Amino acid sequence: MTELSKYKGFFTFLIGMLFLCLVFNLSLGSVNIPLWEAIKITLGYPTTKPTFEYILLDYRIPKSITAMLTGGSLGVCGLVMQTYFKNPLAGPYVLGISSGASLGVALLLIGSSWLGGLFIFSEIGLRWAIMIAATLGSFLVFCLILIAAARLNNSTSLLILGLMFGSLTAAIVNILMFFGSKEALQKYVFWSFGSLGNINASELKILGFILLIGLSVAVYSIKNLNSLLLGENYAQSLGVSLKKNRYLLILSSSILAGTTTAFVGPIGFIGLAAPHLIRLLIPSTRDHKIILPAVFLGGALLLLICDSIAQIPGSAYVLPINGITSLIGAPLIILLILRQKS
Amino acid sequence: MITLNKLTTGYAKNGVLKEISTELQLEIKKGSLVGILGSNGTGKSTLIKTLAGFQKPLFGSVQIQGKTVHEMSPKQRAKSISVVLTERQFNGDLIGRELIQLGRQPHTNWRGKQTSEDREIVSQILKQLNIEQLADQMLKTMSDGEVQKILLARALAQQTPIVFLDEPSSHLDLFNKSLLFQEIKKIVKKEMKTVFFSSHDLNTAIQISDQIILLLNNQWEYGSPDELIEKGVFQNIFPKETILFDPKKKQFNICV
Repeated sequence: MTELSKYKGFFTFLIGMLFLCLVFNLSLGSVNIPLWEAIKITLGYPTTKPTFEYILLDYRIPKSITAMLTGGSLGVCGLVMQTYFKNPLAGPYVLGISSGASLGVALLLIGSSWLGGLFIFSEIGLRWAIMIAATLGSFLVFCLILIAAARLNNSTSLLILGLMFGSLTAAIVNILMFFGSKEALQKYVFWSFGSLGNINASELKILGFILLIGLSVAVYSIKNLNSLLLGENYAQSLGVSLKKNRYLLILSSSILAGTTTAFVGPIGFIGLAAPHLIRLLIPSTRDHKIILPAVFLGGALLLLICDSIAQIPGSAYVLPINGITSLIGAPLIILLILRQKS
Repeated sequence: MITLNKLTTGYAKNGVLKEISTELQLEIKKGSLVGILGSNGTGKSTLIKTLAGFQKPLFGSVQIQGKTVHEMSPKQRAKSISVVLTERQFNGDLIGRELIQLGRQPHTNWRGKQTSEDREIVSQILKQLNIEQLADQMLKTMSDGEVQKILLARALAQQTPIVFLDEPSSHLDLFNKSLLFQEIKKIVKKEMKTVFFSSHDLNTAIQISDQIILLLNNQWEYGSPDELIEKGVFQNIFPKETILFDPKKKQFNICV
Protein backbone atom coordinates (compact mmCIF):
# COMPACT_ATOMS: atom_id res chain seq x y z
CA MET A 1 0.00 0.00 0.00
CA THR A 2 1.70 3.19 1.11
CA GLU A 3 5.39 3.75 0.80
CA LEU A 4 7.53 3.79 3.89
CA SER A 5 9.40 6.89 2.78
CA LYS A 6 6.27 9.05 3.15
CA TYR A 7 6.36 8.36 6.88
CA LYS A 8 10.08 8.91 7.43
CA GLY A 9 9.44 12.09 9.39
CA PHE A 10 6.95 10.35 11.64
CA PHE A 11 9.34 7.50 12.39
CA THR A 12 12.18 9.93 13.05
CA PHE A 13 9.91 11.72 15.51
CA LEU A 14 9.00 8.46 17.28
CA ILE A 15 12.60 7.29 17.51
CA GLY A 16 13.75 10.72 18.71
CA MET A 17 11.07 10.75 21.40
CA LEU A 18 12.01 7.23 22.40
CA PHE A 19 15.65 8.22 22.78
CA LEU A 20 14.80 11.29 24.84
CA CYS A 21 12.53 9.29 27.12
CA LEU A 22 15.17 6.60 27.44
CA VAL A 23 17.78 9.05 28.63
CA PHE A 24 15.32 10.68 31.00
CA ASN A 25 14.24 7.27 32.29
CA LEU A 26 17.86 6.24 32.92
CA SER A 27 18.48 9.31 35.02
CA LEU A 28 15.53 8.51 37.31
CA GLY A 29 15.66 6.45 40.47
CA SER A 30 16.49 6.55 44.14
CA VAL A 31 20.09 7.54 43.35
CA ASN A 32 20.27 10.81 41.49
CA ILE A 33 22.37 10.36 38.35
CA PRO A 34 22.70 13.53 36.27
CA LEU A 35 21.39 13.31 32.71
CA TRP A 36 24.77 13.99 31.21
CA GLU A 37 26.44 11.19 33.20
CA ALA A 38 23.67 8.83 32.19
CA ILE A 39 24.21 9.57 28.50
CA LYS A 40 27.98 9.18 28.84
CA ILE A 41 27.78 5.84 30.59
CA THR A 42 25.13 4.51 28.20
CA LEU A 43 27.31 5.37 25.23
CA GLY A 44 30.28 3.58 26.88
CA TYR A 45 32.45 6.54 27.86
CA PRO A 46 34.64 6.09 30.97
CA THR A 47 33.17 7.65 34.08
CA THR A 48 34.56 8.89 37.37
CA LYS A 49 31.72 7.38 39.35
CA PRO A 50 31.81 3.56 39.30
CA THR A 51 28.63 3.38 41.42
CA PHE A 52 26.74 5.20 38.69
CA GLU A 53 28.08 2.74 36.18
CA TYR A 54 27.04 -0.18 38.35
CA ILE A 55 23.51 1.16 38.89
CA LEU A 56 23.04 1.96 35.24
CA LEU A 57 24.48 -1.15 33.65
CA ASP A 58 23.17 -3.68 36.14
CA TYR A 59 19.85 -2.20 36.97
CA ARG A 60 18.51 0.74 35.01
CA ILE A 61 19.52 -0.18 31.47
CA PRO A 62 18.08 -3.72 31.65
CA LYS A 63 14.93 -2.25 33.13
CA SER A 64 14.56 0.37 30.39
CA ILE A 65 15.18 -2.21 27.69
CA THR A 66 12.65 -4.51 29.32
CA ALA A 67 10.14 -1.65 29.33
CA MET A 68 10.71 -0.93 25.64
CA LEU A 69 10.63 -4.57 24.56
CA THR A 70 7.53 -5.50 26.50
CA GLY A 71 5.75 -2.23 25.73
CA GLY A 72 6.43 -2.64 22.02
CA SER A 73 5.43 -6.29 22.05
CA LEU A 74 2.17 -5.62 23.88
CA GLY A 75 1.39 -2.86 21.39
CA VAL A 76 2.00 -5.12 18.39
CA CYS A 77 -0.03 -7.88 20.02
CA GLY A 78 -2.91 -5.47 20.61
CA LEU A 79 -2.76 -4.27 17.00
CA VAL A 80 -2.82 -7.82 15.63
CA MET A 81 -5.83 -8.70 17.79
CA GLN A 82 -7.67 -5.49 16.89
CA THR A 83 -7.23 -6.13 13.19
CA TYR A 84 -8.06 -9.81 13.41
CA PHE A 85 -11.19 -9.31 15.49
CA LYS A 86 -12.15 -6.09 13.65
CA ASN A 87 -12.70 -4.72 17.13
CA PRO A 88 -11.00 -1.62 18.51
CA LEU A 89 -11.52 -2.91 22.05
CA ALA A 90 -9.48 -6.04 21.49
CA GLY A 91 -6.08 -6.16 23.15
CA PRO A 92 -3.29 -8.59 24.03
CA TYR A 93 -5.42 -10.18 26.72
CA VAL A 94 -8.61 -10.89 24.78
CA LEU A 95 -7.74 -14.51 24.16
CA GLY A 96 -7.41 -15.09 27.88
CA ILE A 97 -3.72 -15.86 27.54
CA SER A 98 -2.62 -13.66 30.42
CA SER A 99 -5.44 -14.90 32.63
CA GLY A 100 -3.88 -18.29 32.02
CA ALA A 101 -0.60 -16.87 33.26
CA SER A 102 -2.32 -15.51 36.37
CA LEU A 103 -3.84 -18.92 36.97
CA GLY A 104 -0.43 -20.55 36.74
CA VAL A 105 1.06 -18.07 39.20
CA ALA A 106 -1.90 -18.35 41.61
CA LEU A 107 -1.70 -22.14 41.52
CA LEU A 108 2.02 -22.01 42.22
CA LEU A 109 1.85 -19.51 45.07
CA ILE A 110 -1.25 -20.79 46.77
CA GLY A 111 -0.56 -24.43 45.99
CA SER A 112 2.93 -24.24 47.45
CA SER A 113 1.61 -22.49 50.54
CA TRP A 114 -0.45 -25.62 51.13
CA LEU A 115 2.60 -27.75 50.62
CA GLY A 116 4.44 -26.11 53.48
CA GLY A 117 4.93 -22.49 52.61
CA LEU A 118 6.82 -20.52 50.04
CA PHE A 119 10.03 -21.15 51.93
CA ILE A 120 10.57 -24.25 49.81
CA PHE A 121 11.84 -21.80 47.18
CA SER A 122 14.86 -19.57 47.43
CA GLU A 123 14.38 -15.94 46.36
CA ILE A 124 15.70 -16.53 42.86
CA GLY A 125 14.11 -19.96 42.67
CA LEU A 126 10.71 -18.45 43.36
CA ARG A 127 11.16 -15.86 40.62
CA TRP A 128 11.93 -18.54 38.08
CA ALA A 129 9.15 -20.74 39.39
CA ILE A 130 6.71 -17.86 38.86
CA MET A 131 7.93 -17.34 35.31
CA ILE A 132 7.61 -21.01 34.52
CA ALA A 133 4.17 -21.25 36.12
CA ALA A 134 2.99 -18.19 34.18
CA THR A 135 4.34 -19.65 30.94
CA LEU A 136 2.67 -23.00 31.56
CA GLY A 137 -0.59 -21.26 32.47
CA SER A 138 -0.65 -19.22 29.28
CA PHE A 139 0.39 -22.27 27.27
CA LEU A 140 -2.54 -24.22 28.70
CA VAL A 141 -5.02 -21.54 27.64
CA PHE A 142 -3.24 -21.29 24.28
CA CYS A 143 -3.80 -25.03 23.67
CA LEU A 144 -7.45 -24.79 24.69
CA ILE A 145 -7.92 -21.87 22.28
CA LEU A 146 -6.29 -23.82 19.46
CA ILE A 147 -8.53 -26.83 20.03
CA ALA A 148 -11.59 -24.59 20.11
CA ALA A 149 -10.42 -22.56 17.10
CA ALA A 150 -10.36 -25.70 14.98
CA ARG A 151 -14.10 -26.08 15.47
CA LEU A 152 -15.02 -22.43 14.89
CA ASN A 153 -15.54 -20.63 11.63
CA ASN A 154 -15.48 -16.99 12.48
CA SER A 155 -13.46 -14.54 14.49
CA THR A 156 -16.37 -13.26 16.59
CA SER A 157 -16.97 -16.68 18.13
CA LEU A 158 -13.27 -16.90 18.90
CA LEU A 159 -13.38 -13.48 20.57
CA ILE A 160 -16.24 -14.55 22.84
CA LEU A 161 -14.45 -17.80 23.56
CA GLY A 162 -11.30 -15.97 24.60
CA LEU A 163 -13.28 -13.71 26.92
CA MET A 164 -14.93 -16.78 28.47
CA PHE A 165 -11.57 -18.48 29.03
CA GLY A 166 -10.41 -15.28 30.68
CA SER A 167 -13.45 -15.17 32.98
CA LEU A 168 -13.11 -18.85 33.84
CA THR A 169 -9.48 -18.63 34.81
CA ALA A 170 -10.13 -15.42 36.74
CA ALA A 171 -12.88 -17.22 38.65
CA ILE A 172 -10.57 -20.11 39.53
CA VAL A 173 -7.91 -17.64 40.68
CA ASN A 174 -10.51 -15.96 42.87
CA ILE A 175 -11.48 -19.21 44.53
CA LEU A 176 -7.85 -20.20 44.99
CA MET A 177 -7.15 -16.89 46.67
CA PHE A 178 -9.98 -17.51 49.10
CA PHE A 179 -8.07 -20.54 50.37
CA GLY A 180 -4.61 -19.02 50.15
CA SER A 181 -2.42 -18.04 53.05
CA LYS A 182 -1.86 -14.39 53.84
CA GLU A 183 1.69 -14.61 52.62
CA ALA A 184 0.78 -16.28 49.35
CA LEU A 185 -1.94 -13.71 48.73
CA GLN A 186 0.53 -10.94 49.30
CA LYS A 187 2.98 -12.48 46.83
CA TYR A 188 0.22 -12.88 44.28
CA VAL A 189 -0.96 -9.30 44.64
CA PHE A 190 2.62 -8.07 44.26
CA TRP A 191 3.02 -10.16 41.12
CA SER A 192 -0.20 -8.69 39.71
CA PHE A 193 1.21 -5.18 40.22
CA GLY A 194 3.67 -5.93 37.44
CA SER A 195 7.35 -5.19 37.69
CA LEU A 196 9.84 -4.20 35.04
CA GLY A 197 12.82 -4.06 37.38
CA ASN A 198 13.28 -7.73 38.20
CA ILE A 199 14.87 -8.74 34.94
CA ASN A 200 18.64 -9.11 34.87
CA ALA A 201 20.81 -9.08 31.77
CA SER A 202 20.77 -12.82 31.12
CA GLU A 203 17.00 -13.11 31.63
CA LEU A 204 16.62 -10.14 29.32
CA LYS A 205 18.36 -12.10 26.56
CA ILE A 206 15.85 -14.94 26.90
CA LEU A 207 12.94 -12.50 27.00
CA GLY A 208 14.23 -10.67 23.94
CA PHE A 209 14.76 -13.88 22.01
CA ILE A 210 11.24 -15.22 22.64
CA LEU A 211 9.60 -11.87 21.90
CA LEU A 212 11.58 -11.68 18.68
CA ILE A 213 10.00 -14.94 17.56
CA GLY A 214 6.51 -13.61 18.34
CA LEU A 215 7.26 -10.33 16.55
CA SER A 216 8.66 -12.16 13.52
CA VAL A 217 5.43 -14.12 13.15
CA ALA A 218 3.50 -10.83 13.35
CA VAL A 219 5.75 -9.23 10.72
CA TYR A 220 5.36 -12.29 8.50
CA SER A 221 1.57 -11.81 8.77
CA ILE A 222 1.61 -8.15 7.70
CA LYS A 223 0.30 -8.84 4.22
CA ASN A 224 -2.52 -11.02 5.51
CA LEU A 225 -3.40 -8.46 8.18
CA ASN A 226 -3.83 -5.90 5.42
CA SER A 227 -6.13 -8.25 3.50
CA LEU A 228 -8.12 -8.82 6.68
CA LEU A 229 -8.99 -5.11 6.75
CA LEU A 230 -11.59 -6.04 4.11
CA GLY A 231 -13.18 -8.81 6.19
CA GLU A 232 -12.52 -12.53 6.14
CA ASN A 233 -14.33 -13.35 2.89
CA TYR A 234 -12.51 -10.71 0.88
CA ALA A 235 -9.24 -11.73 2.51
CA GLN A 236 -9.83 -15.28 1.35
CA SER A 237 -10.57 -14.06 -2.18
CA LEU A 238 -7.21 -12.27 -2.09
CA GLY A 239 -5.40 -15.53 -1.43
CA VAL A 240 -5.33 -15.65 2.37
CA SER A 241 -5.69 -19.12 3.80
CA LEU A 242 -7.98 -18.25 6.71
CA LYS A 243 -7.24 -21.24 8.93
CA LYS A 244 -3.48 -21.05 8.57
CA ASN A 245 -3.53 -17.31 9.09
CA ARG A 246 -5.65 -17.65 12.22
CA TYR A 247 -3.21 -20.13 13.76
CA LEU A 248 -0.29 -17.84 12.97
CA LEU A 249 -2.00 -14.88 14.62
CA ILE A 250 -3.00 -16.89 17.70
CA LEU A 251 0.56 -18.17 17.94
CA SER A 252 2.08 -14.71 17.63
CA SER A 253 -0.21 -13.05 20.15
CA SER A 254 0.10 -15.93 22.62
CA ILE A 255 3.88 -15.72 22.51
CA LEU A 256 3.85 -11.94 22.92
CA ALA A 257 1.19 -11.70 25.65
CA GLY A 258 2.15 -14.91 27.46
CA THR A 259 5.87 -14.23 27.58
CA THR A 260 5.43 -10.64 28.65
CA THR A 261 3.10 -11.63 31.46
CA ALA A 262 5.44 -14.40 32.53
CA PHE A 263 8.45 -12.08 32.81
CA VAL A 264 7.02 -8.80 34.05
CA GLY A 265 3.52 -9.64 35.23
CA PRO A 266 0.29 -8.30 33.79
CA ILE A 267 0.58 -4.85 32.25
CA GLY A 268 -2.69 -3.34 31.19
CA PHE A 269 -3.70 -0.79 28.56
CA ILE A 270 -0.43 -0.51 26.60
CA GLY A 271 -1.66 -3.08 24.07
CA LEU A 272 -4.95 -1.25 23.74
CA ALA A 273 -3.62 2.32 23.78
CA ALA A 274 -0.59 2.06 21.48
CA PRO A 275 -2.50 1.07 18.30
CA HIS A 276 -5.12 3.76 18.95
CA LEU A 277 -2.45 6.38 19.50
CA ILE A 278 -0.63 5.51 16.27
CA ARG A 279 -3.78 5.25 14.18
CA LEU A 280 -4.89 8.68 15.32
CA LEU A 281 -1.46 10.17 14.69
CA ILE A 282 -1.36 8.80 11.13
CA PRO A 283 -4.97 8.59 9.95
CA SER A 284 -3.99 8.51 6.28
CA THR A 285 -3.00 4.86 6.21
CA ARG A 286 -4.11 1.52 7.62
CA ASP A 287 -1.18 -0.33 6.03
CA HIS A 288 0.35 -2.63 8.63
CA LYS A 289 3.77 -2.18 7.00
CA ILE A 290 3.64 1.33 8.48
CA ILE A 291 1.33 0.84 11.46
CA LEU A 292 2.99 -2.25 12.93
CA PRO A 293 6.51 -0.88 13.39
CA ALA A 294 5.04 2.44 14.50
CA VAL A 295 2.92 0.66 17.11
CA PHE A 296 6.01 -1.17 18.37
CA LEU A 297 7.79 2.15 18.85
CA GLY A 298 4.65 3.73 20.31
CA GLY A 299 4.15 0.90 22.80
CA ALA A 300 7.81 1.09 23.82
CA LEU A 301 7.50 4.84 24.29
CA LEU A 302 4.29 4.58 26.32
CA LEU A 303 5.64 1.99 28.72
CA LEU A 304 8.88 3.91 29.13
CA ILE A 305 6.92 7.03 30.00
CA CYS A 306 4.73 5.08 32.42
CA ASP A 307 7.81 3.61 34.04
CA SER A 308 9.30 7.09 34.43
CA ILE A 309 6.12 8.26 36.11
CA ALA A 310 5.99 5.16 38.31
CA GLN A 311 9.32 6.13 39.82
CA ILE A 312 7.91 9.48 40.95
CA PRO A 313 10.85 11.64 39.89
CA GLY A 314 12.79 12.81 42.93
CA SER A 315 11.61 10.15 45.33
CA ALA A 316 12.69 6.68 46.36
CA TYR A 317 9.26 5.12 45.79
CA VAL A 318 8.35 2.99 42.79
CA LEU A 319 4.61 2.67 42.16
CA PRO A 320 3.14 -0.50 40.65
CA ILE A 321 3.58 -0.24 36.88
CA ASN A 322 0.29 -1.98 36.11
CA GLY A 323 -1.58 0.74 37.97
CA ILE A 324 0.27 3.52 36.20
CA THR A 325 -0.29 2.13 32.69
CA SER A 326 -4.04 2.07 33.30
CA LEU A 327 -3.95 5.47 34.96
CA ILE A 328 -2.19 6.95 31.92
CA GLY A 329 -3.66 4.70 29.23
CA ALA A 330 -7.34 5.14 29.94
CA PRO A 331 -7.39 8.98 29.98
CA LEU A 332 -5.12 8.97 26.92
CA ILE A 333 -7.63 6.93 24.93
CA ILE A 334 -10.51 9.09 26.18
CA LEU A 335 -8.65 12.22 25.17
CA LEU A 336 -7.69 10.90 21.74
CA ILE A 337 -11.22 9.77 20.97
CA LEU A 338 -12.79 13.04 22.09
CA ARG A 339 -10.33 15.05 20.01
CA GLN A 340 -10.98 12.87 16.97
CA LYS A 341 -14.73 13.52 17.17
CA SER A 342 -14.39 17.30 17.06
CA MET B 1 -14.15 -21.31 -20.45
CA ILE B 2 -16.05 -22.10 -17.28
CA THR B 3 -17.78 -25.44 -16.94
CA LEU B 4 -20.42 -26.36 -14.41
CA ASN B 5 -20.42 -30.12 -14.15
CA LYS B 6 -23.63 -31.51 -12.67
CA LEU B 7 -23.20 -28.85 -10.01
CA THR B 8 -25.48 -29.10 -7.00
CA THR B 9 -25.19 -26.31 -4.46
CA GLY B 10 -26.45 -26.20 -0.93
CA TYR B 11 -25.27 -27.00 2.55
CA ALA B 12 -25.25 -29.76 5.11
CA LYS B 13 -27.01 -28.98 8.36
CA ASN B 14 -26.81 -31.47 11.22
CA GLY B 15 -25.90 -34.16 8.75
CA VAL B 16 -28.89 -33.49 6.50
CA LEU B 17 -28.15 -32.22 3.01
CA LYS B 18 -30.15 -29.22 1.93
CA GLU B 19 -29.91 -28.91 -1.84
CA ILE B 20 -30.57 -25.52 -3.32
CA SER B 21 -29.73 -25.64 -7.01
CA THR B 22 -29.48 -29.09 -8.55
CA GLU B 23 -27.36 -30.53 -11.33
CA LEU B 24 -26.47 -27.39 -13.22
CA GLN B 25 -24.77 -28.43 -16.42
CA LEU B 26 -23.50 -25.65 -18.60
CA GLU B 27 -20.54 -23.97 -20.25
CA ILE B 28 -19.77 -20.30 -20.28
CA LYS B 29 -17.55 -18.72 -22.89
CA LYS B 30 -14.87 -16.20 -22.19
CA GLY B 31 -15.88 -12.56 -22.45
CA SER B 32 -19.51 -12.80 -21.53
CA LEU B 33 -21.66 -10.99 -19.02
CA VAL B 34 -23.68 -13.60 -17.18
CA GLY B 35 -26.71 -12.67 -15.10
CA ILE B 36 -27.68 -14.99 -12.29
CA LEU B 37 -31.36 -14.33 -11.76
CA GLY B 38 -34.05 -15.59 -9.49
CA SER B 39 -36.42 -14.57 -6.74
CA ASN B 40 -35.32 -14.30 -3.13
CA GLY B 41 -34.30 -17.64 -1.72
CA THR B 42 -33.69 -19.41 -5.02
CA GLY B 43 -29.97 -19.63 -4.29
CA LYS B 44 -28.29 -16.84 -6.24
CA SER B 45 -25.84 -16.03 -3.48
CA THR B 46 -25.15 -19.69 -2.75
CA LEU B 47 -24.42 -20.28 -6.42
CA ILE B 48 -22.04 -17.30 -6.57
CA LYS B 49 -20.28 -18.43 -3.40
CA THR B 50 -19.92 -21.92 -4.82
CA LEU B 51 -18.70 -20.73 -8.23
CA ALA B 52 -16.19 -18.37 -6.60
CA GLY B 53 -14.84 -21.12 -4.36
CA PHE B 54 -16.02 -19.82 -0.97
CA GLN B 55 -18.28 -22.78 -0.52
CA LYS B 56 -17.87 -26.41 -1.58
CA PRO B 57 -20.46 -27.87 -3.92
CA LEU B 58 -22.60 -30.70 -2.54
CA PHE B 59 -22.09 -32.64 -5.76
CA GLY B 60 -20.42 -32.03 -9.08
CA SER B 61 -17.80 -29.39 -9.75
CA VAL B 62 -16.94 -26.01 -11.22
CA GLN B 63 -14.01 -25.91 -13.58
CA ILE B 64 -12.03 -23.02 -14.96
CA GLN B 65 -9.95 -24.01 -17.97
CA GLY B 66 -10.16 -27.61 -16.76
CA LYS B 67 -9.07 -26.83 -13.19
CA THR B 68 -11.54 -27.55 -10.40
CA VAL B 69 -12.23 -24.36 -8.45
CA HIS B 70 -12.59 -25.78 -4.97
CA GLU B 71 -9.40 -27.79 -5.31
CA MET B 72 -7.32 -24.70 -6.10
CA SER B 73 -5.33 -23.08 -3.29
CA PRO B 74 -6.58 -19.66 -2.14
CA LYS B 75 -3.53 -18.15 -3.85
CA GLN B 76 -4.29 -19.79 -7.21
CA ARG B 77 -7.94 -18.78 -6.96
CA ALA B 78 -7.02 -15.19 -6.16
CA LYS B 79 -5.30 -14.97 -9.54
CA SER B 80 -8.30 -16.18 -11.53
CA ILE B 81 -11.32 -15.00 -9.55
CA SER B 82 -12.16 -11.64 -7.96
CA VAL B 83 -15.35 -10.76 -6.16
CA VAL B 84 -17.59 -7.94 -5.03
CA LEU B 85 -19.69 -9.20 -2.15
CA THR B 86 -22.82 -7.88 -0.49
CA GLU B 87 -21.17 -7.87 2.93
CA ARG B 88 -19.62 -4.60 4.03
CA GLN B 89 -17.26 -5.73 6.75
CA PHE B 90 -14.28 -3.72 5.69
CA ASN B 91 -12.60 -1.19 7.95
CA GLY B 92 -14.34 2.15 7.34
CA ASP B 93 -11.12 4.05 8.05
CA LEU B 94 -9.53 2.73 4.88
CA ILE B 95 -9.08 5.35 2.20
CA GLY B 96 -10.26 4.64 -1.34
CA ARG B 97 -6.89 4.16 -2.95
CA GLU B 98 -5.66 1.91 -0.15
CA LEU B 99 -8.67 -0.37 -0.48
CA ILE B 100 -8.25 -0.62 -4.24
CA GLN B 101 -4.55 -1.32 -3.84
CA LEU B 102 -5.44 -4.34 -1.74
CA GLY B 103 -6.68 -5.85 -4.98
CA ARG B 104 -3.03 -6.12 -6.00
CA GLN B 105 -2.21 -8.40 -3.03
CA PRO B 106 -2.14 -11.66 -5.04
CA HIS B 107 0.49 -10.15 -7.32
CA THR B 108 2.79 -8.65 -4.67
CA ASN B 109 5.66 -10.14 -2.67
CA TRP B 110 5.48 -11.57 0.87
CA ARG B 111 5.12 -8.21 2.55
CA GLY B 112 2.69 -6.90 -0.04
CA LYS B 113 5.04 -4.25 -1.44
CA GLN B 114 3.43 -2.21 -4.20
CA THR B 115 5.66 -1.70 -7.21
CA SER B 116 5.33 1.31 -9.46
CA GLU B 117 3.51 -0.98 -11.89
CA ASP B 118 0.94 -1.86 -9.20
CA ARG B 119 0.40 1.81 -8.47
CA GLU B 120 0.06 2.58 -12.18
CA ILE B 121 -2.65 -0.10 -12.55
CA VAL B 122 -4.60 1.37 -9.63
CA SER B 123 -4.34 4.91 -11.02
CA GLN B 124 -5.59 3.73 -14.40
CA ILE B 125 -8.60 2.02 -12.87
CA LEU B 126 -9.41 5.13 -10.84
CA LYS B 127 -9.41 7.09 -14.08
CA GLN B 128 -11.33 4.44 -16.00
CA LEU B 129 -14.18 4.36 -13.46
CA ASN B 130 -13.98 8.13 -13.09
CA ILE B 131 -13.53 7.99 -9.31
CA GLU B 132 -10.22 9.81 -8.89
CA GLN B 133 -11.90 12.21 -6.47
CA LEU B 134 -12.59 9.27 -4.12
CA ALA B 135 -8.97 8.13 -3.95
CA ASP B 136 -8.13 10.03 -0.78
CA GLN B 137 -11.49 9.76 0.95
CA MET B 138 -12.24 7.42 3.82
CA LEU B 139 -14.72 4.68 3.01
CA LYS B 140 -16.98 5.63 5.91
CA THR B 141 -17.58 9.06 4.38
CA MET B 142 -18.73 7.68 1.02
CA SER B 143 -22.24 7.02 -0.28
CA ASP B 144 -23.39 3.49 -1.15
CA GLY B 145 -22.91 4.11 -4.84
CA GLU B 146 -19.38 5.41 -4.30
CA VAL B 147 -18.48 2.43 -2.12
CA GLN B 148 -19.81 0.09 -4.78
CA LYS B 149 -17.56 1.71 -7.37
CA ILE B 150 -14.54 1.45 -5.09
CA LEU B 151 -15.27 -2.23 -4.51
CA LEU B 152 -15.61 -2.79 -8.25
CA ALA B 153 -12.34 -0.97 -8.79
CA ARG B 154 -10.68 -3.26 -6.24
CA ALA B 155 -11.94 -6.34 -8.05
CA LEU B 156 -10.65 -4.94 -11.36
CA ALA B 157 -7.27 -4.15 -9.82
CA GLN B 158 -6.96 -7.84 -9.02
CA GLN B 159 -6.81 -8.37 -12.82
CA THR B 160 -8.53 -11.72 -12.90
CA PRO B 161 -10.18 -13.23 -15.99
CA ILE B 162 -13.33 -13.92 -13.95
CA VAL B 163 -15.25 -11.48 -11.76
CA PHE B 164 -18.25 -12.21 -9.54
CA LEU B 165 -20.54 -9.40 -8.46
CA ASP B 166 -23.12 -10.33 -5.85
CA GLU B 167 -26.11 -7.97 -6.09
CA PRO B 168 -23.95 -5.10 -7.40
CA SER B 169 -26.89 -2.76 -7.93
CA SER B 170 -29.03 -3.45 -4.89
CA HIS B 171 -28.31 -0.17 -3.09
CA LEU B 172 -28.12 2.02 -6.16
CA ASP B 173 -30.63 4.38 -7.73
CA LEU B 174 -31.55 4.04 -11.39
CA PHE B 175 -28.90 6.45 -12.63
CA ASN B 176 -26.04 4.96 -10.63
CA LYS B 177 -27.17 1.47 -11.51
CA SER B 178 -27.12 2.35 -15.21
CA LEU B 179 -23.67 3.92 -14.88
CA LEU B 180 -22.34 0.83 -13.12
CA PHE B 181 -23.67 -1.63 -15.68
CA GLN B 182 -22.50 0.55 -18.55
CA GLU B 183 -19.01 0.37 -17.11
CA ILE B 184 -19.22 -3.37 -16.51
CA LYS B 185 -20.45 -3.96 -20.05
CA LYS B 186 -17.50 -1.97 -21.43
CA ILE B 187 -15.02 -3.94 -19.35
CA VAL B 188 -16.44 -7.28 -20.47
CA LYS B 189 -16.09 -6.31 -24.11
CA LYS B 190 -12.75 -4.55 -23.94
CA GLU B 191 -10.86 -6.91 -21.65
CA MET B 192 -12.63 -10.16 -22.54
CA LYS B 193 -13.38 -10.82 -18.88
CA THR B 194 -16.17 -13.12 -17.84
CA VAL B 195 -18.34 -11.25 -15.36
CA PHE B 196 -21.12 -12.87 -13.35
CA PHE B 197 -23.62 -10.77 -11.50
CA SER B 198 -26.60 -11.75 -9.42
CA SER B 199 -29.74 -9.67 -9.39
CA HIS B 200 -33.44 -9.85 -8.83
CA ASP B 201 -33.94 -6.96 -11.20
CA LEU B 202 -35.07 -9.04 -14.19
CA ASN B 203 -35.76 -6.16 -16.58
CA THR B 204 -32.27 -4.72 -16.35
CA ALA B 205 -30.65 -8.14 -16.49
CA ILE B 206 -32.52 -9.15 -19.65
CA GLN B 207 -31.43 -5.91 -21.25
CA ILE B 208 -27.71 -6.18 -20.53
CA SER B 209 -26.77 -9.86 -20.05
CA ASP B 210 -25.14 -11.97 -22.72
CA GLN B 211 -26.22 -15.13 -20.94
CA ILE B 212 -28.65 -15.74 -18.12
CA ILE B 213 -28.75 -18.44 -15.48
CA LEU B 214 -32.31 -18.35 -14.24
CA LEU B 215 -32.87 -20.07 -10.93
CA LEU B 216 -36.39 -21.23 -10.19
CA ASN B 217 -37.43 -23.42 -7.31
CA ASN B 218 -35.66 -26.76 -7.94
CA GLN B 219 -35.21 -25.88 -11.60
CA TRP B 220 -32.90 -23.82 -13.73
CA GLU B 221 -32.70 -22.39 -17.20
CA TYR B 222 -29.68 -21.20 -19.11
CA GLY B 223 -29.30 -19.29 -22.34
CA SER B 224 -29.11 -15.87 -23.93
CA PRO B 225 -32.02 -13.53 -23.09
CA ASP B 226 -33.48 -14.04 -26.58
CA GLU B 227 -33.24 -17.81 -26.34
CA LEU B 228 -34.97 -17.79 -23.00
CA ILE B 229 -37.71 -15.48 -24.30
CA GLU B 230 -38.20 -17.76 -27.26
CA LYS B 231 -38.48 -20.76 -24.96
CA GLY B 232 -41.12 -18.85 -23.07
CA VAL B 233 -39.55 -19.34 -19.65
CA PHE B 234 -40.16 -15.82 -18.44
CA GLN B 235 -43.91 -16.03 -19.04
CA ASN B 236 -44.31 -18.70 -16.39
CA ILE B 237 -42.18 -17.36 -13.55
CA PHE B 238 -44.85 -15.25 -11.88
CA PRO B 239 -48.60 -15.61 -11.43
CA LYS B 240 -50.21 -14.07 -14.51
CA GLU B 241 -52.63 -11.95 -12.52
CA THR B 242 -49.71 -10.08 -10.91
CA ILE B 243 -46.87 -9.78 -13.41
CA LEU B 244 -46.94 -10.30 -17.15
CA PHE B 245 -43.93 -10.66 -19.41
CA ASP B 246 -44.03 -8.76 -22.68
CA PRO B 247 -41.78 -10.69 -25.14
CA LYS B 248 -41.74 -7.86 -27.68
CA LYS B 249 -40.55 -5.19 -25.26
CA LYS B 250 -38.53 -7.81 -23.40
CA GLN B 251 -39.80 -6.65 -20.08
CA PHE B 252 -41.97 -7.53 -17.12
CA ASN B 253 -45.00 -5.39 -16.41
CA ILE B 254 -47.05 -5.17 -13.26
CA CYS B 255 -50.72 -5.89 -13.93
CA VAL B 256 -52.72 -2.88 -12.80
